[in-house]
Amino acid sequence: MNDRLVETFLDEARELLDGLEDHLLDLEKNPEDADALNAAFRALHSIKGSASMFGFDDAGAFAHEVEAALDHFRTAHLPVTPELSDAVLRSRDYLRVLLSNPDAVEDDEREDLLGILVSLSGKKVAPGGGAAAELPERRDTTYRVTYKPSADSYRRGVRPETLLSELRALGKSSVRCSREAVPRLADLEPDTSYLAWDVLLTTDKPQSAIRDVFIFEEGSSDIHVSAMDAAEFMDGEEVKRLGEILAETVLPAASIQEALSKQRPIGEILVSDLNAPPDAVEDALFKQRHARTVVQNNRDEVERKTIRIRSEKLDALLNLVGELVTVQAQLSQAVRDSGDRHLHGITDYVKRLASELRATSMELRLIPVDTLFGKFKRLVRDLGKNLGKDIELMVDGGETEMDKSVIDALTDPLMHLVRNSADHGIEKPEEREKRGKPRTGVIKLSALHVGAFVRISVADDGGGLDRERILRKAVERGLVAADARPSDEEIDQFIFAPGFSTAESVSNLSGRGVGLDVVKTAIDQLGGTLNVHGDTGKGTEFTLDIPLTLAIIDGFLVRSGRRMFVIPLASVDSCFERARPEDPERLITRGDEFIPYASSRVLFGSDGDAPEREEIVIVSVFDSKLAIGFDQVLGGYQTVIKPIGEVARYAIGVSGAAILADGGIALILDVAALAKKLKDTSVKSQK
Amino acid sequence: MRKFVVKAPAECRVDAAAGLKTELLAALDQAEGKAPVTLDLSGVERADSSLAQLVLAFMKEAEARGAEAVLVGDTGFRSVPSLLGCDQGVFAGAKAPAATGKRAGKEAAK
Repeated sequence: MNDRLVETFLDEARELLDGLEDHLLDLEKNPEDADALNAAFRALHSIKGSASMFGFDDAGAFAHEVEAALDHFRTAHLPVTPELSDAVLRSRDYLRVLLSNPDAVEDDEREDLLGILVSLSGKKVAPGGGAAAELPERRDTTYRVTYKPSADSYRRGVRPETLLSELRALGKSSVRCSREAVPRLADLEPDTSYLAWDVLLTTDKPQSAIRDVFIFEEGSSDIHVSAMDAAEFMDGEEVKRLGEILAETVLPAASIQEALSKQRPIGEILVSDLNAPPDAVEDALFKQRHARTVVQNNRDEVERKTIRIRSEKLDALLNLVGELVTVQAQLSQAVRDSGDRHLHGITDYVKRLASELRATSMELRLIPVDTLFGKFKRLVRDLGKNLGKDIELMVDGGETEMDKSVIDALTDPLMHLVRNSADHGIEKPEEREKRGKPRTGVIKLSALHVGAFVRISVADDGGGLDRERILRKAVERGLVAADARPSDEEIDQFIFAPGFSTAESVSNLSGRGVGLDVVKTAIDQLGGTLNVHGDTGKGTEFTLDIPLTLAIIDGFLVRSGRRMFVIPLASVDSCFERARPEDPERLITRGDEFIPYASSRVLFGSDGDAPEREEIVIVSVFDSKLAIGFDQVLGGYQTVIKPIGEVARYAIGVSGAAILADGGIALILDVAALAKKLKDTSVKSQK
Repeated sequence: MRKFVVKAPAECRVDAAAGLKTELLAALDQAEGKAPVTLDLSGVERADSSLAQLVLAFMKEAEARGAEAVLVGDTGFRSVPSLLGCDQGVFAGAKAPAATGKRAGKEAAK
């Protein structure tokens, strides 16, 4: 068997299993949701079929048994019980292991699950045998709609073509118009309607949707809607021949067969030899044309489907684009130096193309954050059960897109935060009741774009942070002096210290003292920031501000002494020039705003004499601003981010490096970290 | 040969149909079947099926008189099937208008 095909099957099976999990979780909320039950059944049915085809017979046979249990509930219209959803969720996990690592499966689990499934289905399930019943999917129906507007339609303000356009939007359609009743111009009353339409519409919408289009015409105009038998003009997915269509309606099949044996044009035979009425032939042609439209449309739909590309290939593409961006910058610089105007035009064009290529390549890697959030539905459900807590997961902003590599890297940190919220945050139902809260606790995952970052939040409505206890532990661990009086914000930050835990006992979820520091490190490595906020009794919110991408950015190139820096363009608010003050202030004013200020010469210790004039770049950091003074602003600069590894841990305010057109290095500024550094410095100096 | 050209207005909905009808009939009368009568739709910016109906009636009138009717600028949304919300070239019953009259190509449009 071709490895790539097997891999594609496994990819699809994993997706189907993830989908199955979603459907089951939906069913737990709404056990009578027939659509979710059908979808779960379909997923298992697909896995069963493909698994057998690709030689995964065990998985195919097991999927069949799970499918049979689901089918029992489906066909008997029974609401899904917690026992069934539990068993199928466990079966889903078992199948996942069976497909990815068959050596790791446990026979006991299989036997146990089979026993449960059989008892749930109320009958002995025959392993591996029998095809599953076909699902009653919503199928396409072809309708014939005839519409003859009343003579006064135009005077009533009716626009028949608008109604036809609405009708056509319902599905695949063929429309013809009868002009027979239109008189000669001399007899035409221009505001009278003489036309009539005949429509074949293939749609999965109910007949009522068609009636709705003509809702204001019912009673005034002549409208007929009738369902047709598609077999009149189609044979499965094949278009019937004209003679076959006529045989369904006006001509005997035998005489058509005989006529078709003659070597003459079909139209001529039908009309002259078989005396087929011209109207009937025309109608058959109309149906045949519609059948072609439907078949073509179905084929197009299949072709329009997405293709699968391994993410490594996208990574390789992006690396190449990165190299192209660097080389293009070098080329532009060389052309500028040469002063050749002709080449200048060409390099500008290359620059534009490289920029578009970069944007398109980046877009290919973007996936909705929902793919990440979706993983936690099951986790929260299981955590709730294990901990004896009622927990609901809410998701907001799941459509926000992020680079796939960033999303992959966020899985573990987010999982830990969700576990933390479930274990330490959400209280037991009785305790919540005592505190006047609903028995069910809520963990809310949300995502939104903020400039060049995506802000992800994990919030719960649990007990919040017990700052007194955190401070006590921090003192015990020597993180802070016993007589120190740290601010609430500073106390909150102690929970990110290595090995820090306030849990009295070690559970299997958290409290082992391994955790939030690991989360913080992971977020730092992504160039992001992690913060926490939570007042006692009012819940806790972790916010993760993550850069949109880790690869290429549009930057703003600036200079301080001989050092070059790149500021992410999305963070740049404005810039202006001023005379360099002798004694720089901590705040500058812009309009009504006071903005914290720092000179890059102070922040990064630039060399050489400072020029008399200073260029100020104002950057936005979420809801606040920061002003940084540079010697010179050089303008927009697209650059590839090169990681600087461990150095970044010690260079606060720097997230990476970029290679410049002349081969030099520029440091990429982490404005969020700079803002924090300035704020901390300001707080300390005030103390 | 004298040319008889009627230019349809930009706004060519039912309210404009009566005026256009009068102009076309006058042109057909003047042409007396000896010269083609052209309906130029190239300046039409907004139209509905009442224009299509008028075009069809114009074709029938010309045919009955033994005159030649020419249509120019009937492309895109200005084409008769488009105005009728139909598939191109799909007419029930008798032949499509292009077969009864004459649809001018680029040369005629010049």
